[in-house]
Amino acid sequence: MKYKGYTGRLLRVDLGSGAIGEIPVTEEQAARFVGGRGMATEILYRRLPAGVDPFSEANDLLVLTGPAAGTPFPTGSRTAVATVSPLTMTLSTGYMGGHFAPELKYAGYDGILVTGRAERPVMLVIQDGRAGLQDASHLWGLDTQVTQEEITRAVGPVKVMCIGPAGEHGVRYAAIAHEQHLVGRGGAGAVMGFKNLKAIAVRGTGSVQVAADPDLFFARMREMQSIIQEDPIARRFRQIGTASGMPKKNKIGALPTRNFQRGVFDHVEHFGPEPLVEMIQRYESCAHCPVSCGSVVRFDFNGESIVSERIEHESHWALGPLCDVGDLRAVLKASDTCDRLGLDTISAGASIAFAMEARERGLLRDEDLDGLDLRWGDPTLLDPLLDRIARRQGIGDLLADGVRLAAEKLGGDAHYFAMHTKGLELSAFEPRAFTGMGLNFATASRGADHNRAFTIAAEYYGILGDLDRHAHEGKAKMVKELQDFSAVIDSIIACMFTIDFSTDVQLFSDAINLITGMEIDPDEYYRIGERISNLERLFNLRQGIGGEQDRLPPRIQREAVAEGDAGPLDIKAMLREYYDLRGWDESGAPTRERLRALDLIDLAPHEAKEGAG
Amino acid sequence: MQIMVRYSGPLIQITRRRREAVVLPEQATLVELIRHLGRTHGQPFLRLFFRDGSRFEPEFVVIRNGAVFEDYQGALCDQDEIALVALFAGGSA
Ligand code: SF4
Repeated sequence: MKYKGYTGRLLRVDLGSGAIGEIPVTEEQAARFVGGRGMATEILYRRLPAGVDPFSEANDLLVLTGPAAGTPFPTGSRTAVATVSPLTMTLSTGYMGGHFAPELKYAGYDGILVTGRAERPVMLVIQDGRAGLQDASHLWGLDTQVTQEEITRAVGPVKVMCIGPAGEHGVRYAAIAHEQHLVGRGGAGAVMGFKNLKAIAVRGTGSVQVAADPDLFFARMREMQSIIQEDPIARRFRQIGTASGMPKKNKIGALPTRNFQRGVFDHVEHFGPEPLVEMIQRYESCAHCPVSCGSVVRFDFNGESIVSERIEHESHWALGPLCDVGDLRAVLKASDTCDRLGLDTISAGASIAFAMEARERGLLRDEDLDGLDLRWGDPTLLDPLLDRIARRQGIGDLLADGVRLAAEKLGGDAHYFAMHTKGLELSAFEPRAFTGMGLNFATASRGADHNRAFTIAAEYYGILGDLDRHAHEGKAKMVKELQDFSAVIDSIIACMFTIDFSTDVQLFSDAINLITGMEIDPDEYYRIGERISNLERLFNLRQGIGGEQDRLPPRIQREAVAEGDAGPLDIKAMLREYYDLRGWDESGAPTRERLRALDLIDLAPHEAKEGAG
Repeated sequence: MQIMVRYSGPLIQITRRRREAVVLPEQATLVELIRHLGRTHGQPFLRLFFRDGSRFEPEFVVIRNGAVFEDYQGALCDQDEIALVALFAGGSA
């Protein structure tokens, strides 16, 4: 590997045979896909068979870093985890902050490829170029925080990623935890659980080489750090996290409430940033990040003093307004419960909201509910339901499969209010009020993920060519560009929040070039992003997921937002424009021309059509 | 007096700068500061602060010297730093 920033090797662990080896990371992979999401897509596209069942030995779990991990590049020390999602059947790559990626780099690896399935619970321990599997039966059943404590107590100062009971029980939206960070969406924790892999612990004492002269490199990194540190959003963000937008969305009738039945939440005054600021005990940071936005809060709940990670907007929303729960402390407690059980808060909250509506409509009967009186807004229901979901007990077994499968099992009109795309539950942005986000939800490679194209600022402020948030014109271009942009950020792997902090692609590309010795300009980065978006599409097509799943839930297509200012959303015209801009055919498949233009023709499937790229 | 203004997210895109120093008469208020900046940055800037063209209702959190500031008619001081923080940021591909 001539490029710096990479170790040039992945650790390969086959849980079935116990074999441990290495596979190279090539210069070509680095230049075409950077790292993280891009490289994961390429590796898994080449490795996995068509239509692979996520809960099968043929599915892999791939942990990857980016070239910046372990260097002072601000926010660049994040970790990506990729697998085929048991929730969506698509490729799903998620990210977590913390300190795992630098430690893995210092241990000598760019990533870890986990194949096969162990017969009994194991954990993988990596220490400076050596790796081994250890029995983890004694850890099975422990929550994510206790698991990490137990492992560091037994093994020493390692960085740990692990699953909780939800992953062990195959909850399709089980998360992977590291410190207080989670790879939340898409159910990678369930794949880890299927593999009987309770945890990965890593210790590294090496270093990362950079291509540039060290003085120049450190001067540039200091410059980037101070741009971020001085940015007013970064300073405010450290204090209030992502909590600022909820009252504003409520004011314009765009805060999805009661499973997207309403756009206004009656208890929003409890859900602004101020109550959370008062609870902060201390701040924590991911490796090499000057923002330090992680904060630990203390609050009282049911006579107990609870210390937990500060809640972020999505969890706050999914366990609060979406279920119409107005008790902030119950929501904070439920979010902490999700983290400990290893559950994605968004899908968990959405599944509970779905169940509440199913009960309201008579699709769930009292005898289905294990004695729980499932009503909107009852704060006492959250914790018992989350526990049942994580252990697949009673009603929890139905909800552990996510709203798409739960709706299929319930039948009737349940699909109408199952709020997902491609199986991934919608996150906290009302697609009818932000039509660009609607198009992104419909087309994003792993379903309704707002981070695949965060259109909200542009739509709310109308800054990109005066885009009105309700309008359809111009949205396809914006969504395509933002999706490609996020693909690059997720491949570097930088924190999505960085984008808010006065940084831009030029700054990023200059810094990555200093690390790697490559000469990639911003235009080439966008091309890499587009390449990744197209390869993810090819992956999903091979999984049997194409244009027919680029759609929004029926409620979004047919109902106006109650108390909001948005009508039903029909994305047909935007979608046609989006396919055209992407150079995809009418079925949503990339054409051979487009794949050729993006230097992906070697990966093109036989059935790809010719066509204007 | 001189005021340092720091922009965030959408305002960086509109003003094409991260910060600027502005000289204003003594006792000038935040509203006067924004009107002054609007003369340089135009309607796209002003409409994010004035509802219906006249009512001052900023779409930003205003931070004065590190603390949230809501006394829009109160006098600013020489060397104040005013940060205009977006409620929603990101998405500037
Ligand atoms: S901005 Fe926050 S979440 Fe992102 S890398 Fe920094 S500390 Fe971690």
